Amino acid sequence: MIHIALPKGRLGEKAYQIFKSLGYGCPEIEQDNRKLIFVNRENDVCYFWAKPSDVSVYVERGAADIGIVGKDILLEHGSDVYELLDLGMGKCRMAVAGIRGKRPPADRTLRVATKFPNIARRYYASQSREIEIIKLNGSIEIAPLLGLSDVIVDIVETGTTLLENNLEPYETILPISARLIANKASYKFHYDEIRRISEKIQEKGI
Amino acid sequence: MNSDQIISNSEEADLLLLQQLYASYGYSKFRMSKFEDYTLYLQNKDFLKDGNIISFNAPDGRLLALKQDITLSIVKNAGDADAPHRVYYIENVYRASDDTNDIREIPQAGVEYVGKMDTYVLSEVILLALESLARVSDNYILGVSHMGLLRGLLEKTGLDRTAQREILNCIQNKAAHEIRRICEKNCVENTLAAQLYTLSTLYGRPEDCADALRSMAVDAATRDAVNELFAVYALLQETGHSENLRIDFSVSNNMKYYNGIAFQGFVDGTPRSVLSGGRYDDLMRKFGRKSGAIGFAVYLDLLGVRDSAESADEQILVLYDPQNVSGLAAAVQSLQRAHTAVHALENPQPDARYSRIYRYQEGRLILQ
Repeated sequence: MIHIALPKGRLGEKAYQIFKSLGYGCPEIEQDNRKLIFVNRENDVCYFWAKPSDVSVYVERGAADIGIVGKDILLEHGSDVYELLDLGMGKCRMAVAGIRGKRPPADRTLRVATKFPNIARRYYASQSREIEIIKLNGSIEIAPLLGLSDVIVDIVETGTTLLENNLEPYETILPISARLIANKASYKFHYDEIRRISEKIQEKGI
Repeated sequence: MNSDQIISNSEEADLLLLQQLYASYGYSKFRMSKFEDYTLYLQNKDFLKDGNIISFNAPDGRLLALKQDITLSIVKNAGDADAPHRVYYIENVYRASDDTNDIREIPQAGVEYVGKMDTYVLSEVILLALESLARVSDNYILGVSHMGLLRGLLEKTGLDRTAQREILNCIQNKAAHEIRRICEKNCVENTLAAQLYTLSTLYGRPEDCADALRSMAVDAATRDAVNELFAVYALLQETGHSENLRIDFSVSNNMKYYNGIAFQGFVDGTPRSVLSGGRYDDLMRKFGRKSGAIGFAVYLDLLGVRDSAESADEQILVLYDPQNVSGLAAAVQSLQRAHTAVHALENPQPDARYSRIYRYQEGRLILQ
């Protein structure tokens, strides 16, 4: 049986529809219930929902054989998993943003508020820029507005939230999209099944 | 039985089997101190799997570290004698976790060969790796690659070390789509880009991967690498232990120190590689040694995790009356299966949890 970790939310629901269209449907998951784990013995598949940032942990530690996760999470956590496919869904970008029309100060340590300290640290290290990381867990956009930070490093999808809060993206760090990941041991012991899923997704051109 | 007991008992059993195996191939036990000079790790920091060194001051003021890696200590002490040096070890290494700042004591067993290299020596060490896995699991896989082929292809790209490392990371993660992106961005020639792409997805029995690998070996260095891989495989086939071997270039080591065959072992039920090794002549050169070297480590703590998880699957309790034990032994036996533990007790233990409870009454097991 293949165990699949799906990220809670729109991306996970879209990903489940892909698996379903490939013949890995699980009626239980489509019902309105309070179950946490959904099994379909006929299709030999088991799904569970996880917080998006935890999907790679479940996969890395073998609680799930495969999973769907954003590239941002993989880069931030440095997860030791196989990244089999770029699904091209959930497209956005990791960007540096700040108050509109204002340039970040170049003459002192830059204060960076972010949920992604590792990505931010690596990006500024590549520019030999000294920074102070302010780790936040949500509502990052408020930080520069309240003077907590000079810039933010965060995911930008359409840029509407930034615009509405008098912020603008300064630089793009990298593009982000959803990835199909696999546990390194599971890949070997369920090779045929995982390979089949991955190839079917590719054939569908997703 | 608590879980600590399960882990330590299973580790001890695994250790005994591995010791017998290594000794039977003429390897002698190598015993080391728990401590090492801090400078050894500092000067070879990029060789270490984990950068966190646990250091402390000796009474004479020297800065020491808890042993973090065994290979470095063996290489440091290995001479360049004509006779080959075959050793095995069973030691603890100490590492600090990045996430939690915990200090962990990790039991490892391993084998190192230092001396003149030939095809037999390479196949002997890989055979020991295969047999080590077979001793601890019925279902195992040894993934094998060759750093010579990887290095050869990466150097042909003409990219700087950082970009080469980036491609190597993608091969290690089977992220073929990222390889395509990097090659396009850096204008890597199409045939070479396609070869790197193929290498990242290649997985299977050596005979099934032979054509693909031979088509990539177009100069002396890469040809030698592929030929060596298949010469070793031919010897392993004679031993009957090659069934569980797979070509897998996601198995690769640090390009700076490892130069030949690289391998990683997996056992079903354990989420990470439980064995890792390769040929590291270049590390020997860094220490001024002319000999070649190859070895591997088995991570016994991960095997413990597998066993404890499996044992916890089925804990069965049989309650019995000491006055009425006729037929009890046979009844307990009838419940025993792989990965189950049957506890026959007069009274249940207060903190223990069981997946099923039976009462043995009038010669029968009655499910409670």
